[in-house]
Amino acid sequence: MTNVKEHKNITCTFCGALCDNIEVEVENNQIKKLRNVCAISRKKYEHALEDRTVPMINGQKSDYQSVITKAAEILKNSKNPLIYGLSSTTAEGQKNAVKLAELSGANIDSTSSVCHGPGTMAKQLVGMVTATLGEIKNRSDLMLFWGANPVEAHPNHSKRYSILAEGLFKKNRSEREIIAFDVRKTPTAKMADHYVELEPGKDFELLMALRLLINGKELNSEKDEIAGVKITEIKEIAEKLKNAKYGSIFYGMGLTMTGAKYMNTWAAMSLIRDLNSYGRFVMMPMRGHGNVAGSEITMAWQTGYPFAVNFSRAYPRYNPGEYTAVDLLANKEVDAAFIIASDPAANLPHQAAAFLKEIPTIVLDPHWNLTTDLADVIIPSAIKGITATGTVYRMDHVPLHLRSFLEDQWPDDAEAVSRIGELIENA
Amino acid sequence: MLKNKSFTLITGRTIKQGMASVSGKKNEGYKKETAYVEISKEILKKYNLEEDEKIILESDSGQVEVRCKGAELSDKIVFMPYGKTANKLIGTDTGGTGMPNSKSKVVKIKRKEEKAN
Ligand code: SF4
Repeated sequence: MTNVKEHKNITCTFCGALCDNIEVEVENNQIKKLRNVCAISRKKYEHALEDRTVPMINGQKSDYQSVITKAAEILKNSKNPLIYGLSSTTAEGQKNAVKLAELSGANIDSTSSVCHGPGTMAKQLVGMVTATLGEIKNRSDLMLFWGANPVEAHPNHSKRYSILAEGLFKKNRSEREIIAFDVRKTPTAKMADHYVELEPGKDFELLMALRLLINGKELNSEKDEIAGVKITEIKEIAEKLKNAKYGSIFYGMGLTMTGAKYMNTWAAMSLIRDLNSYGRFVMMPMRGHGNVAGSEITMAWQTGYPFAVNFSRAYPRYNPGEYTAVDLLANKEVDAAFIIASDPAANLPHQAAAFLKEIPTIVLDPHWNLTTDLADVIIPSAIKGITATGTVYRMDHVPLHLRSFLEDQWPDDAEAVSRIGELIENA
Repeated sequence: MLKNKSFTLITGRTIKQGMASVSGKKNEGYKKETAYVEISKEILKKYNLEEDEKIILESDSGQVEVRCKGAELSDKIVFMPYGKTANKLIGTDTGGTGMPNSKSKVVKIKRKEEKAN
């Protein structure tokens, strides 16, 4: 007799869009059918139970309790450890990781520092006018995508929340105007009504030019262009921004990773403030990892700071550029690392990630990745939203509860981190 | 001369890189989807580079050998899907922000034979 079970409203945890309308048919602990998935999440679900990690110490198979004990020993004996990753784990896992950082006097940083961290630094300077994705979908008549390419990074975003979404008042594509700003014509830019190609690294100049126009000032340029965009075109864009009833900017790493980094987002956030004198205008970072927004929220709620926190003096100190993972690793300042649900060997600059080979490194992850290759200790874990429950925060900070629908032999991240913490606390 | 021309390296997401990253990071697919560079078709033509030719990309932080693909790009930039290969070029300078220059690194293109000489 077959035992087929249907699960509705499952939340995909791959990217910050956190689509919560996935439907899964399960038979004998195997996924048989998937609905409402995107190209990426289909692969994610199909591959979920493959390539699973097992407990390992120094390349030898071990057992779960031994890897937990070894991890506690490494962190306890370390003078300045780094706890890093966090954006693909649950808020419960993140909260326990902050406690562990406090217990072990560690630095704790999330992948936010190499994605939207600079935008968060700008938020601390100037604040950000924002909204939920639902409000934007229902009301926004002018949508800007700035250095963001959701068609490839958040494939369901356009139909669930933005370009193609069916909103309450803005019912379809024809009721919204879309402008894409980028240095290359991405698939998202191809869907826009207007594509504005700017010179690489000149976002700040274009944003400030728009601010000047919005505030009634004149633009001067010998070449009759700013950031590679003709002054007449910039003036046309400024008029469109002023005339929008409800404008929105979805911004990506095109703003946070280029030359001026947090000052780019500062300029964009300042522009949005100015535009609120005309109509309503909001801004939203296109968060990459499923719960990277949650990593900042949880860290801020636990320590007062969103990332780049150091506990060496037993109280939290915050300093991006010093307590951020790339800097700590590149400057060889840490003497052990605990990587939670992340793959720095693939995603951090090579010279920073390579230092993980020189220090005791613990990896907590359900799947093998490039960092597990460098790890001294590997702790397997259950898979968020598939075999493990928990809380995750969407890119607009809406919290969602994850349900599990497959069985697993390993505990989840939150439990693994908490067990390590208990061993240190009770030693 | 190609060796005198500089480009800004833009790293970023592609749908295939995303799909490969959740299909097993250690599989060939992930390696393949993160180990090529897109270059303007005009630049390929101007410097007589073939589609799919292996070239060397070099920054002040490292160099990698990758296949080149012609794309609709400005002649000021080259694009690589983000991943281990691109990260050999990025360097660790964060300018006090924690963020490396993942979309602003200056790179040069070398032909493979130039390396041998
Ligand atoms: S858009 Fe993102 S959250 Fe939605 S199904 Fe695709 S990968 Fe998952």
